[in-house]
Amino acid sequence: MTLWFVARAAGFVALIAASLTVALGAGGSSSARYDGRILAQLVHRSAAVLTLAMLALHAALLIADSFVNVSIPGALVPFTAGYRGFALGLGTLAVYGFVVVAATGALRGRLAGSVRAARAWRAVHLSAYAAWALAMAHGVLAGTDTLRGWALLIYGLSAALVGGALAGRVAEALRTRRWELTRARRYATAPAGARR
Amino acid sequence: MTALADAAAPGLTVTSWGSARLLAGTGQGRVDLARHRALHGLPRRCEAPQLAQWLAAVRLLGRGGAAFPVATKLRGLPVGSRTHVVVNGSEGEPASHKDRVLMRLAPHLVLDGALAVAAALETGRVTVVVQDPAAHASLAAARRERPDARRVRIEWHDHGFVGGEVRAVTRALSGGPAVPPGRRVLPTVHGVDGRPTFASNVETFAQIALLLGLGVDEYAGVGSADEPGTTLLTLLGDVAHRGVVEAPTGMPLSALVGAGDGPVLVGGYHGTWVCGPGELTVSRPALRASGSPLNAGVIARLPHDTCHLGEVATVAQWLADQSAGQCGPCFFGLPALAATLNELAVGRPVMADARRRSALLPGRGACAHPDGAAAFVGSALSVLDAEIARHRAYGHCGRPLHGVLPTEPRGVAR
Amino acid sequence: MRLEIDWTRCDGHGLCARLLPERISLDEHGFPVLPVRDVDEPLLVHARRAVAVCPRLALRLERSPTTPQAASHTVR
Repeated sequence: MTLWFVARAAGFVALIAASLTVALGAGGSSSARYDGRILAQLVHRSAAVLTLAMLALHAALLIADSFVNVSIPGALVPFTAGYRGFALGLGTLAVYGFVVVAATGALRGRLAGSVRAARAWRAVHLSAYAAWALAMAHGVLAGTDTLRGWALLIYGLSAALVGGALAGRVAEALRTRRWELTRARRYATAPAGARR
Repeated sequence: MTALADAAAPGLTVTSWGSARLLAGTGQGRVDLARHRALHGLPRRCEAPQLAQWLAAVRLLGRGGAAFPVATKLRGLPVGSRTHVVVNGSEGEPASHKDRVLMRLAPHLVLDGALAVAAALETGRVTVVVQDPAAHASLAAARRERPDARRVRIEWHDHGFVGGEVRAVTRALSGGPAVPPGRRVLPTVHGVDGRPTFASNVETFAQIALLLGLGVDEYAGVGSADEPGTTLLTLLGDVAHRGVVEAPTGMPLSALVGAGDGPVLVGGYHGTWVCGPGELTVSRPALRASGSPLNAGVIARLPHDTCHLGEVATVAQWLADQSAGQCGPCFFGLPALAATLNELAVGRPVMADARRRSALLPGRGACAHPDGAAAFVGSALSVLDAEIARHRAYGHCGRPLHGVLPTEPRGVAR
Repeated sequence: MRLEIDWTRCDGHGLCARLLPERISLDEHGFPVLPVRDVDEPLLVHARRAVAVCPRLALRLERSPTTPQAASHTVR
C-alpha cells in the first residue's frame, strides 16, 4: 500500500517537473531579460532530468506494488494493462515521448552540424507538448484521486504553467518583428515551382 | 566603333569596340547555325586537362560577377557522368543586358561552349537557365537546329535577382527553393542534385567556345596582358554609347563613357561609385585591385538633370525588395538603409546612421546580396557628398528623379 | 577555431552575445555582429557555451581554414 502512495506521489511530482520543463522550454525564447533566459535553459534541463527520474520511479513502483495489477508488459506496451488500460496507455505513450524528447535535448550539440538534422531536431523536440498533454490526460483518467482538492490544484497549476508560457511565447512572437522573418523564410524556402 | 544591332529590344543598342568576337555577325540580326559555322567553324572538343591549360594560359575569369579563374574551377571537378554543367543566364540585375543579348543574337556560341565543357568533363548533363523570354526562345530554336544539343535542357526561371545567384540556381534545379543555402558550399563540390557542378555565366561559356575556335595565341592577341580577350559590358546613362558593348580588356573607362563629369557606377547595383573614370581600365583584376570590381559589367554615369541621391535611394529600395527574406541583417537591414537614404533626400541629418547601417551589412547573410548593397550605398555616400550636402541645406537638389537607373529590365532607352 | 553563423536560422535571440561578449555584439534589430570570427583559448570554452545555448542551433564552431580559400567567391 505504501508503494502505491509513493508511486502516485512520484507521478504527481513528475507531472509538476514536466510542466516546469515544458514551460521553461517555451518561455526560454522570450527576449525579456537575457540573464534569466540562460538560467531558464539550465533549469529546463535539470527539470527534465528530474521528470525522467520521477517517471522511472513511478512506473517501477506501480509494477512492484500489488494493489493494482500492472505487469511489466502491461506498463511497456500501451493500452495492455489490466487496470484502466486506456488511461495507462496514455501514460506509457507520454513516457516514450518524453524519453525521445530528452534524447534530442541531450544530443543537441551534436546535431548542430547538419542543416537537415537541425530542422528535424526542432520538430521532434516540440513533440514535448504532445507528450505533456498525454501525461495530463493520463493523470486525470488513471488517478483515483482526481477530484480531490489538492489533485485539482496540481493539475490546474500544471496547465497554467504550460498554457501561460505557450501563450506568452506566441504573444511575444507576434509582437516582435521576428514573425515577419519567419513568414518570409517560409515563403523563401518553398520549392521553386510552388511559389508561382 | 561598330553599331551591330538595335533590333534586339526597343532602344537597346549593341556595339563593339574594334572587331566583334562574341558579337560577330550580330549586325545582321540573330546568328543562325549556318552563319555561326561560317563565322566560327565547327565546334572543337578537347579533354579537360588540355582545356584547363588553355584557360589558364589566357587567364579567363568568370563573367558572372565573381570573376573566378575558370581553369581553377574546371580542375576542381571530377570527370564523369555524375558531373553537371549549368549555364547561368539568369541575369537578374535590371541594368544588365549583356547575357540576354548574347543568348538572343549568338545562341550557338553559348551552346558550343557549354557542350565543349560537357565533353571535356565527359558528361551529358547540360542545363541552361534563363529568365528572359526572348533569350529562351532563341536558345530553344538554336537547340532545334543542331543534333548535338539534343540533350541540353533549357529551363525558364522566374526567380528574381537573388534567385539568379549560382547556388540558388542549382538548388532550384534540384527541386529545392530558389534561394541560397545557409551554408557556404561551392557548386563544384555540392551542386545540382548534390553532384559536382560546373556552373558559370552565359558569357563565360561563349568565351570558352571562342578560345577553342581561335586558339590561345589568337585569342590573346586582343586585350590586356593580365586578362586577354574581349568582354561584354552594359552601359547606361550619360555615356557615349548606351547599351551592350563588346570591348577589348584594358581599354580605358574614360574612352568607354566619353566626356562628362557625372558620378560613375562601376559594377552595377552591387558595384561601387567613383567620381569619374579616372585611370580605370576595363580589366577585372585591375578593377578589383582598385576597389571597384566589374561584377556583371554594368557601367553607368548619372546625367546632370536627374536627382542623384534619388537614383541611389530608388536602387537601394529595389535592393531591399530583392532580399530573399532568409537572413535577419538583410531582411531588416536593407529596408532600414533604404529608409535612411530617403530621409537624407529630404534633408534629415542622418548621414551617420546611413554609414553605420551600411557598414553593418557585409558578411552577415547567406549570400553576397547585403555585401553588394553595402558597397553600392557606402560608395555613394562618399562620392555624392556634395549632393547630399545640397539636400541637407535645401531639402532637395532642385532636380526631378528621372529614373536613369532601372529597377525593371527594359530596353536601355534613355 | 572559427565561429560561423547560419544566417538562415538565426532569429536574433541574442543569447550568444550574452555568453561571448568579447566576440559577439548585437545590432539594432537584435542580430549578432562578429567583426572577428577567430576564437582561441581562453575564450574557447565560452564560445562552446554560446554555441550550445543558441535556441536555433544557428551558431557553430569550425576549424579555421589553413589555406587561403576562395573567400571572395561570391558568385551570381
